[in-house]
Amino acid sequence: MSVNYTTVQWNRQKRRYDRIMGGIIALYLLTFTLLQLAFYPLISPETLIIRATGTLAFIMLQFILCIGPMARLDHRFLPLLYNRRHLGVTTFLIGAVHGIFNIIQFHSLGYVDPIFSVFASNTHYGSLQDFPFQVLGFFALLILFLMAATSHDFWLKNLSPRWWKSLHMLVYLAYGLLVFHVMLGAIQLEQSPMWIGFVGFGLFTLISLHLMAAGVEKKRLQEQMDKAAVGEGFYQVCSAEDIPENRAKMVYLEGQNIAVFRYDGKVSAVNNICRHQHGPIGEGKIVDGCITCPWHGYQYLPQNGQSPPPFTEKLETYDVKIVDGMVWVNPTPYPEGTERPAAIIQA
Amino acid sequence: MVPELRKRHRIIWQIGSVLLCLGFAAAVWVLPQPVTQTQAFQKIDPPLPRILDTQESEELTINLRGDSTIGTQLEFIIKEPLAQPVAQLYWQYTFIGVLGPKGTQRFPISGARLAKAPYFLQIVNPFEKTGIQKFNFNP
Repeated sequence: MSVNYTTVQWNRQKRRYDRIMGGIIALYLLTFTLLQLAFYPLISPETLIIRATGTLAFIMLQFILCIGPMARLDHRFLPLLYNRRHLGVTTFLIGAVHGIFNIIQFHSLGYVDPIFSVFASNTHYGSLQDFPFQVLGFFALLILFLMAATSHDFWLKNLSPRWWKSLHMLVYLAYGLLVFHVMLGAIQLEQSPMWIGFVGFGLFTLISLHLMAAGVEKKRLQEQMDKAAVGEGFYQVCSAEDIPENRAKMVYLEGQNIAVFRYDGKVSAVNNICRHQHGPIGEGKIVDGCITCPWHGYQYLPQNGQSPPPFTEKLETYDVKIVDGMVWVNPTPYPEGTERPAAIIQA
Repeated sequence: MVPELRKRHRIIWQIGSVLLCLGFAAAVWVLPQPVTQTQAFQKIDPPLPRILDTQESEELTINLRGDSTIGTQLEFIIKEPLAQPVAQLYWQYTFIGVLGPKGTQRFPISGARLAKAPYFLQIVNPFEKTGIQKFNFNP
């Protein structure tokens, strides 16, 4: 959360996240190098760098794309989501090393411009087997560059969350390009069942996780709609006891995405969409009296949806009442930051 | 995540999963098949028991082997590969085969080509149309 430009808002969690990430990357590079030297003793340093960074960047992108659905299916994965941006920028940097070394090794010794050579050295664009796979990697890297360059909150504010998110959803296109980059490049050369198995397993895992998460969400929303009882504009959503202390129940009523929080013997409802990156507020918890978004820690007060000063982000609020221990929510939103009385849970 | 955004994710992955799986299968389908080596020449015939005549050069030992009941054959023991890429063999001006790069080769000689000694063997470079080596056999 920021009111002024800040390069990186470091905190203890982010530093810990980055240290673990750096450690795993170093461990992978070391293990990969030792294995390559054992199996290919005559390998050149350039080839070793190309292979190590290429495999690492692909694995990291695969992992990054798994984090979202894993966190939706099981909240224990939410900490992985917290600093995903650093993971993404690191993936781009590693992919860039792979790309630059490839261009130096394979395209810089001819008469033509190295970048032009990437597109013109192999022109079998009509053949699947001989397709110029490096072009696919080039465009994937370009997308990752755009994402890394605009990953800062400065761009989020200036592009608006809607456009920023749309731009960053190009990562799925980048992933598709990279799958074909690998399958039509390294796999065609190596033809190893082990590498085909690795790529296939990763692809299968990623698709399964995303489809499962989408299915679970859709089913959950449908069940809420089916269960909700209606009366005087209010919908009965659950029992007050169903909501854990300092946590929320998320409901989707009349097109409104609402998070109903329970705290200090009270219940309040706010819009479920964080103003930062449209994160799911209701998957977070109340920390120091503030609703805290699980994605990047943006905070709001539960009774009025306002970020504590000096921050300016605000959420819509909703009327809530408790009748016979059951929580009722009116999905008509109040303007952002409007104070609404919390419903008291009777002992 | 906004429901609209979540729906976009769902649609992207539903379409993407089909495209990615099809692309993956297609890429596996077009994997180059392992190259199978075809035999450069036929299985070598067993040597006939008697050597009728022998000729030597720096690279070759050539035996004319024969047996009155089974037939006659020409045996090439290649000591060193010839300098020429291809060496064709002509026995009495009739093509009988191509000499390989190493090992031992045997070629059957039909009775019609053994009517009258001496016999003439020529090794020819077919590209340059020149003779490489010539041998006379007089058993």
